[in-house]
Amino acid sequence: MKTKISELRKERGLTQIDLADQLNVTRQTIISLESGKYKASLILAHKIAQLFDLTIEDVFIFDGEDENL
Amino acid sequence: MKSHSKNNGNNQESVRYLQRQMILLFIFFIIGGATIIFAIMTSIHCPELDKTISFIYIGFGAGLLTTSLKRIIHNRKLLKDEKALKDYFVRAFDERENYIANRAFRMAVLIVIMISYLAAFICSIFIPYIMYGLAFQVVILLISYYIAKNVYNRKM
Repeated sequence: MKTKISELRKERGLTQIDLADQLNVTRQTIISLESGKYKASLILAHKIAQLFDLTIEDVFIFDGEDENL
Repeated sequence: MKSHSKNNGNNQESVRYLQRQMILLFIFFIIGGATIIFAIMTSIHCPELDKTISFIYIGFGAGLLTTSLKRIIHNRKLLKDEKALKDYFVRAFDERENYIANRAFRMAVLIVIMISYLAAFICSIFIPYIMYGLAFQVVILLISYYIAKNVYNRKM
């Protein structure tokens, strides 16, 4: 799954550590989310969207292939 | 929607969680100590019994005792240091870490089942009772799975 987390984070001048601290996750989780290796849970997706003041659809780009996993 | 992660709560919640965990660790500590005492008493009062079993019991007991003691000391240190407590909870309840741990555990269980099956299959040629043991294990696994599935099915 592709995400816009990296772009949104940079736009707001946040580091991966800052974002991880605000979301109460490890930096490695942010790295994996940004690279699309890990798919966030609904709760984490909601928290990320809320943090950026956007909707989940604005942050996460749903790919049809994700449906099969 | 209710969050299942503990790390989004306040520090009070983390402290309570650690305190509950320490009670459990203390119980493990007592079980470990009791196992060692039981093994020593058995070897003294029943010298005709196989010593290997006593050593295995002592090993299990010592493992439980030291691990729980180490965790209790670790938790006590965490309770005194707020930053370390927060870091610990972030790492312990990070959803990616938990996801990886769950997948790794599933893989490990699968490997254990496969190896047990293979070992039992080969060993049963010489000792048929091993096959009964394996069959018993499979039955327990299926029953536990069925019960757990039904319980979660009702909950969700």
